[in-house]
Amino acid sequence: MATHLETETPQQEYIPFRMPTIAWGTVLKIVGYVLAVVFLLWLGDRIGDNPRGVLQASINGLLIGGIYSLVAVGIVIIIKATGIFNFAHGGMMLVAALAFRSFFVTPTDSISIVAVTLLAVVTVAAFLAMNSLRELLNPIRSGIGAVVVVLLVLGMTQLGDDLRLVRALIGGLTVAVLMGLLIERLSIRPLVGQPIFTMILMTLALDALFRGLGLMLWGSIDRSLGIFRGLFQTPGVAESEAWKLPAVIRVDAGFLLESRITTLNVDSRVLIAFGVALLLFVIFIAFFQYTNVGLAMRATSENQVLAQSVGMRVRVVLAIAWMIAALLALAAGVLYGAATNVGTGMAQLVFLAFPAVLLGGLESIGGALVGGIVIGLAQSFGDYLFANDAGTQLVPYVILMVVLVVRPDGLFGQKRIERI
Amino acid sequence: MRKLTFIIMIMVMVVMAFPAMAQDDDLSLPDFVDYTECEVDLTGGDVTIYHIGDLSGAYAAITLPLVAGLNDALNYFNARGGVCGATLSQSAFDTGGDPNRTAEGYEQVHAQDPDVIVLYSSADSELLRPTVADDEVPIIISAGSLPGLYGENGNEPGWVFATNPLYADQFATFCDYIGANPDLYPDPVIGYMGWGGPVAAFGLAAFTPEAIAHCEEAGVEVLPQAQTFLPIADSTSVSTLVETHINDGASIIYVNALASGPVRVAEAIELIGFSEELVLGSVNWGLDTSAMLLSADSLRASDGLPVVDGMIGSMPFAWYSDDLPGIALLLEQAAENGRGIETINISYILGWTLADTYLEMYTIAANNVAAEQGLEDGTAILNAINGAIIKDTILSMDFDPLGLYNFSYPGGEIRALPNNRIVQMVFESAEITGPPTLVELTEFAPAPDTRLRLFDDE
Repeated sequence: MATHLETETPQQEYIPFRMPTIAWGTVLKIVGYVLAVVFLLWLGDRIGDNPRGVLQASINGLLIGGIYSLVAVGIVIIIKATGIFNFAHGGMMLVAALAFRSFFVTPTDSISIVAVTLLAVVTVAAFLAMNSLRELLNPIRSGIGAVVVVLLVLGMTQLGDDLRLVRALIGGLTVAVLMGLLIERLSIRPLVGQPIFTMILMTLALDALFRGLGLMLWGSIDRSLGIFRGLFQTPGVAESEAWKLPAVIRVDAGFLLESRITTLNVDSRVLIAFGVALLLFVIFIAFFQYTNVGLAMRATSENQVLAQSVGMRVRVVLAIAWMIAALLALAAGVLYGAATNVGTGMAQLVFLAFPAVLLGGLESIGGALVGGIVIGLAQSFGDYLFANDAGTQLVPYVILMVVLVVRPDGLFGQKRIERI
Repeated sequence: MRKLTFIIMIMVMVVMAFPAMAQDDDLSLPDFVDYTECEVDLTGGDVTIYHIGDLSGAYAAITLPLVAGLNDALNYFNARGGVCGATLSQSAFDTGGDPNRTAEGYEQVHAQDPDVIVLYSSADSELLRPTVADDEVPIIISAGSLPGLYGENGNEPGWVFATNPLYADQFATFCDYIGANPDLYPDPVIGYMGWGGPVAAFGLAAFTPEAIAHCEEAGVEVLPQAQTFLPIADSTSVSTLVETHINDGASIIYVNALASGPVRVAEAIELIGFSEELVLGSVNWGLDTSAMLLSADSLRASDGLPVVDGMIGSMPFAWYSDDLPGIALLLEQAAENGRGIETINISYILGWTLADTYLEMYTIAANNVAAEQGLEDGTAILNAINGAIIKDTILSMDFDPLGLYNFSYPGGEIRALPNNRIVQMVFESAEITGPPTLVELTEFAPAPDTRLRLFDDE
């Protein structure tokens, strides 16, 4: 009995009332499913309403996303090599594109040979002195450098206006290389060893500097950049220019329900920009995978001290990284400028590329491509579904937030594990 | 040695004298402008045009040419005696487009005791409206907003004066023209587009219930959903928004943005293949040389002309026609000052007309002060001029700066110059060699005052 009582006593103890446990995870899942179903029903209604419009929005988003990807990969290159989020990329795009345009539109006989020679000499000298100023004293290197200077000057001053695209490419590439090397040498290298935040602030300062430089040297007026114009048929004389591309590619889409608009339309300028962006991606992925410099950059990004201890010239690697970022800024600036116009507002394009970088994963080049395209598509669908710039301003960031909650390192980012 | 020094000095003096001797002797003010005669001598004095605004941000494309125009105009007028002998000068405060810097700019400028200040942004005028009323400092702005000019209730005209009709009234003028021409625009349906993002206040400024109601009364339907896009948007992205308007039945697209906005929309319309079916309309900033320059290398219409060819819109000042002596003078001076075609735009002429307005405004104010207070000394007269006197002067003026618009606020209760007209941008050939022709579709007439609809019930 006593035993019985002893065993029963705990059961008679007062048990405080507790709220029933709610499985919040399950509730959130259910709410999520319900919202997703409601959204899909609404989306289905909109798609069913105008399937051509949805297809067109997809094409638009894909093409524009390609350009965002190109901007994003320029940012990723710097993150990969240095760990810095480069806020100056927009300013770099602006200056590089404006310099390219100057070489494109200025008649050959108006280009100052003194200024161009100075530009070529400083660029080649900065390139040769990437590791140390002593390299300039090496006679073989200096000799090669002198030949390159002559070739650059000839390219920028002697190519006639018929070859102005080539002239602009030489001029633009020279300016971009110089910009990348100077950024690394004058503003980033002195900060090595300082907290990463200091370097990030430096990139913000550089962005302001480049925007100011753009305003000071080229003014505030937006300008057109017709690099593709010669490739397109002129309306009205298409017969004699059959070999050229149509400025707008139209595909009949009458089979996709009846609506006022019956064609799918693609701006050839944006299509070319998309194609060039993809080509550059392939080149850069190959560069990182298969070249010694690319492998050195990957090693340096993993651990600078270790890379230096095994004999890698880290300073050169970092200089090359900034140079490549500047070249990508030039490519993105020129391609986007050709599809729109070149002006001070261009620097803001980088704010549309930031979500692409974060979405793809900070250190992933492939992720930048996917991120850019996802953001482009999100914007385009946002514009289509919400019918104002909520698409541009809201939807990409909502998607970014959702992805970061689920995958904090982005879609293709590296998950860092730090052992203590 | 002394002889040599003397000879060199003589030579230097001769060399310096040559340009002065070679100068145009005709240093009188333009004879096609009806100026008030100076009754005072302000020689040795200074009249400063203080301006606060975005000189390096999103609006820089129009504010820097304005400053350039102001600079050229001040040199021109000062060479002709300035304001009754007083020198005109300018002092700028750059906010960089950051509204948080506007108040700081005002504090700095106000410390210099200005009689009147020039602003560029409607948002800035809204922010400073109560302050300038307390301080009794009039503001001159190109195109203001309803809250900035008349307060939140739209019925309290303050110290801010706009030299363009309100954007809503410009939109109403456009609707009046469309509605009055049913043979050209049968069953008109307008899809409204404007800049969004940080400049949405400007982009949507004309999309007011009062303007829409006015359009409906004029027989023009306005689609209920306005579309906005960022200033950096490309035409492919903008085409998605234009398609929505087309699918909703739009036959006209009206754009409230600076020049690159209408160019992007025109490209989008061409991209969709609807340039023959859709009419493109724009606020005054769209019908500018910058629209022409931006469309030089853009998509071409099926006739090979720039995509903005045929765009119609509101143009509250005489621009662009070199038949006008005011425009001819501007072009001559622009050439002398080495200004490129990218600078000679609407803002450039506004810089000139602003300087001309100051010249007349201060002449009247100085004459009145001297007569009323019995002052003769130039410095004393300039010191006696204050914000309240300038406000009274503005309200009493009826002046045509360089003959390009009428600076007059009839009745004293309005705060935006009312005159407006509709023009069409026309290109002669596919090759862009000079400014576009603006064909006048309606003559100058007072724009509808859509603000009055706010008080219809009262």
